[in-house]
Amino acid sequence: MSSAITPDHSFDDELKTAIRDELMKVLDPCSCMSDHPINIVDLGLIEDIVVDDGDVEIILLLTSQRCTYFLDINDEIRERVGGLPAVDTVEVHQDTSGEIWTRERMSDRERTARRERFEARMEAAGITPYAERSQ
Amino acid sequence: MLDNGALVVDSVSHCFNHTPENHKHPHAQRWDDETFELSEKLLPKGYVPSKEVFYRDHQPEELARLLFLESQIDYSVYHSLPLDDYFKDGYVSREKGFEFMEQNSNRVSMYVDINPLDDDAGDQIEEFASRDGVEGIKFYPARYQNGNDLSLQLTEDSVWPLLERIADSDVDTLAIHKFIPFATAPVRYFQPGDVEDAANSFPDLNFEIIHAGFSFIEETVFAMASHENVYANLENTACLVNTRPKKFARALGEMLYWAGPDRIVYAGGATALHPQPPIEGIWNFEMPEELRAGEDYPEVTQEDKEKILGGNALRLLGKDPEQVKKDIKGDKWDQLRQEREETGDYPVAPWSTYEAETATLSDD
Repeated sequence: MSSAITPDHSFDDELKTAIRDELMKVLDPCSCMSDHPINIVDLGLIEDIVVDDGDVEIILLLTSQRCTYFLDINDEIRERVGGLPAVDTVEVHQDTSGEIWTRERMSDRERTARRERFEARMEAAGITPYAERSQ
Repeated sequence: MLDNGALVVDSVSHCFNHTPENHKHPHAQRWDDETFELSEKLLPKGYVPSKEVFYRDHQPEELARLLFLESQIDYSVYHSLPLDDYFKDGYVSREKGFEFMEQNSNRVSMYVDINPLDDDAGDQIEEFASRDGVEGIKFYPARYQNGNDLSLQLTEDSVWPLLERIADSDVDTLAIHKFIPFATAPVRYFQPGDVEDAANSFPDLNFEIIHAGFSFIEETVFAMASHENVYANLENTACLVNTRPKKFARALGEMLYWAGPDRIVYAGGATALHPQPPIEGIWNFEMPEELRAGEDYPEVTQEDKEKILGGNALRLLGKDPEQVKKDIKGDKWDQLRQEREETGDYPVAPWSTYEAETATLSDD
């Protein structure tokens, strides 16, 4: 079971919900190089949202600890979340627990959509899976 | 050699030079350090080299002992690297590759690096491809020049004509680094879309995509399934079988399901990595039941494993397995292996040959 915060995650805190909604506007930079950009919540990068009055901390679990786009993601999160009226400060940190990003952290809808696009591309190219051909 | 007598072929080995004297670019030290850290991430405990062993100018004799005594590898393909934008000798020099091949002519082939931006790159391809033992050309997808990361993807105007030169040369395989971004080069350079275009336009060339399965797996599988001349080279990816088994299972499962077992080749990635753990990992690998049931991934048969660990690479190299077995039977490494097998000391302990063996073997 993934610990990522999903688009459907329900909070008992309105501010956290508003922060999650802002985070869903932040697109993963790598996915922007494809035809199907994906936001960082759907991608499963949000490990935690911590709120202490107006002080907010966002914990990210990146697909790679060496992600060279961390600074870009950090800047956009600070700009968007910092723009919420109830927020005074925003800190963005990487998860250091040793947990590793896996595709299971992606939201069901994105994982399904991605797979459907892949299979549609295979079908459009007339490709029958080898495993089915050899049966 | 596997326990059943099948040959193990390593589709990538290198003699790296990780010394400070070899640095040319400010990022070179970082590159060295990240390569070391990669070994910590990808290898089981006990197989990570000490810093004393890692940070050196690795020599052909050391590589030979690492491959042929510390692992089950019988045959290896040395790849020199064209990274002279970062390292004075390109990081993995051609010279050491030719020396390695000369010292072990029945056990080593070579893919020679070419920088497509060299004025005489086409002539270099023709010249190196004509040399004995050279079976392929090696490209990188980006090059740092004048402060910029230039794209050297196969579809670039600076690169595409060289594919014609390779097609006209004495070799028929091009290997290209993909999937693991480096330094400041944009991630899009590491996607395999350009390989698809090249494989389509040059059906008589084989394209070996290095580090296949590490990322962009669906794009990789599409390229393999739609082009019979695209091969997945598992350098670094093979190590995931031990350290990220679910990711490995998914990558291998996708390849087997869509493209079959005939164009996947094991690579050990020495001297950056120890080559033995992934051999044992692949040989003992079983597709998890949840992925067989949930994703329709096929079982990985012993025949599949033999192909991945050697058979496919030999076919790609145009080598007859029985002839290779005859050629290496009784050679220096075969004798040393047999001696150690008698004492229960084969494969030899990881990285142990880097010190104790130097004096005893250098006189052979």
